[in-house]
Amino acid sequence: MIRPDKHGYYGEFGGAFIPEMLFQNVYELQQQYEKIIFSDDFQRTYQSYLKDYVGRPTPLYEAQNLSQHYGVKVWLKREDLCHTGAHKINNAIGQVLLAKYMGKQRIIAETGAGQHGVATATACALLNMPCQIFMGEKDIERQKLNVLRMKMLGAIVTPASSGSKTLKDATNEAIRAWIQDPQHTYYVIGSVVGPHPYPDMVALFQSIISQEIKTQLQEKGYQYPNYVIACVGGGSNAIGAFYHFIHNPITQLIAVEAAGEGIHTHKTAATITLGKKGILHGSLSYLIQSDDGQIFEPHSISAGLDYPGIGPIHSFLYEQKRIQVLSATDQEALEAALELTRLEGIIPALESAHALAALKKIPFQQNHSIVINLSGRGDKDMNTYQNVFSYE
Amino acid sequence: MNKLQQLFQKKPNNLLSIFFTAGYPQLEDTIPLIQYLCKSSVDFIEIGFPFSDPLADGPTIQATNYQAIQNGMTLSLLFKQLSSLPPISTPLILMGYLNPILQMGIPQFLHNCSQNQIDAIIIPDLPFDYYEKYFQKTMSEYNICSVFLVTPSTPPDRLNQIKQFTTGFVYVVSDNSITGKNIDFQKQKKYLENLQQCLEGVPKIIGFGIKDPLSFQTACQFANGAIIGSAFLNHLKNHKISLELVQNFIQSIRL
Ligand SMILES: Cc1ncc(COP(=O)(O)O)c(C=O)c1O
Repeated sequence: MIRPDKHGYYGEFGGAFIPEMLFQNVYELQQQYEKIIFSDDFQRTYQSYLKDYVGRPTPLYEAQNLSQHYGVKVWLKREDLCHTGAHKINNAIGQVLLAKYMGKQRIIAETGAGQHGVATATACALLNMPCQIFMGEKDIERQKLNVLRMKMLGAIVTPASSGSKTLKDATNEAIRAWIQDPQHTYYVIGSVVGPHPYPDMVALFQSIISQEIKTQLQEKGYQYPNYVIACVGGGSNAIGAFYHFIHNPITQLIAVEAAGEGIHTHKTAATITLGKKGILHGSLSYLIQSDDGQIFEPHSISAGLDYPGIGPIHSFLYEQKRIQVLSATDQEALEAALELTRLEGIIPALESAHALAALKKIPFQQNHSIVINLSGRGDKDMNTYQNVFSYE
Repeated sequence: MNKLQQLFQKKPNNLLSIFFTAGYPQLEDTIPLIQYLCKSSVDFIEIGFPFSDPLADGPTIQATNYQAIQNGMTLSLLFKQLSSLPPISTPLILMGYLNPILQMGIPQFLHNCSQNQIDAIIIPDLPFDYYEKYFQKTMSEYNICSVFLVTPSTPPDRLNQIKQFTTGFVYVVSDNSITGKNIDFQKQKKYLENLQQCLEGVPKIIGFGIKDPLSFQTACQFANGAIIGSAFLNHLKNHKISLELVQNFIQSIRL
């Protein structure tokens, strides 16, 4: 468990650095979110959607072939089996439901890989809310399938054509849209980023992942895992997988960033490895930026990790030395994706493949047990896989 | 009292301020632009330093920020340019997002402001607690004014807080909007009238969407003056800057 102080800070990280135009929206949310999401009524509805609509609990699968290959016990937390194909739906349903409780009439969201966009469009179809998704032009190109899904679900998909035309720019456009309709619009942020209370709220919604892992391991006769490994874009699947292990020092928590073409190149998204403290999208955290404070355009083959920042919780846990941060290159992720596919018959999302790539980097012992959060499935990445592996 | 505060005492009405992005259209245009604006009798000048992710800005200012960064503008270069500016009587205000300031270091930033004729600073994403903790004391020592934004959705108790923190003027954002959109004064009449009451005695300048004589004059009915940004930057677009170019624009507003 980890919660911010009442101003939304985790140590020095987090906070709410927002222009006045957003003050009232954010303040309203700060005042209401805990009251609503901890209420019995909300929880009853939310939990029943998680169970019967999302398909929770997701399995904790002992990947025997993978385990044999690496000589260690590997469990996969199967978030890829969630309805819509990734962990993002845990948060999207929670927030769209919250928006309903708050009397909001319209939903907007940003998306990188399109998984958060699809999850939000899905929750909006289910809960009957109009929905607009902002997505970088480059991501619209590389995650075509998800664009089609969002459209079929009834969402308007608006291309973000500024800057690097990826997740950062989609987030800028979503915030600008929010500024212009503060009263009626609810902004569903897709990761543990943004101004307080978003990081806390999204972490709470995703914490179901580690809650289940804990119970499932115990049912299988294990007290705790030695490692929990997850990829980090903004960090929502990672904090979800870490949440209930944070206070158990025996479990090592490993966050895997996207190194892109390598941390010594300019084409990278390894935020903590290369970043400095700064402010983007309303919170203080590590960012990859110039000495002058201009945010760099990141690069990763996976659209969901192609972001120059990271959630303030992770910056805090990193400084506390509670999490360890590794990075995996585009190439290492692709190899790990193919390996899982051939060994276990599971095609992972490119984001999740970064977590899998960490298996080659960790000095585990034979008797260790490792949980990898398989945050999503690879359907959306078939374009990229097809190009890289040259399938006809 | 600094130059800005004196201005509000001397001339309480019809103040015209121009905003431009430092390093746009060309890297070395900053100082000439300030001088042309002074010669065109603008009342005060707002210099924006660029940021890669200007959240509260519309397409025009996004584009000037982008161009300025491409041209090589940085906050430290801006101060270097300003250090070559001969003393001027027109108040200068610096405006920009917090991140470049954090990278420079807040004390260094404020020191640079104090050495380079800056009378006030506007940081749209600066929270009050940060202002109190890291800016307020030093700013008052250096005699640099604070400016805060209000919008149609700013709640009443916050207006009071803003009134207390303000030593320069209140920047009245004309609508729930990003920069460069049109303003509908009819729709905002109640909001603006209410501010006249709640913020009585505090200088108020309206910005966002002011672009022609009509919007300027209307704004001046509700406040001490107005700021023009996007319309001026659009006027500069694709031009080599000159005194004539700047004067033409100012005359077209003041009529
Ligand atoms: C499958 C999958 N995993 C991970 C991520 C990265 O986001 P986060 O770090 O918030 O989990 C995304 C984002 O789009 C995703 O689709």
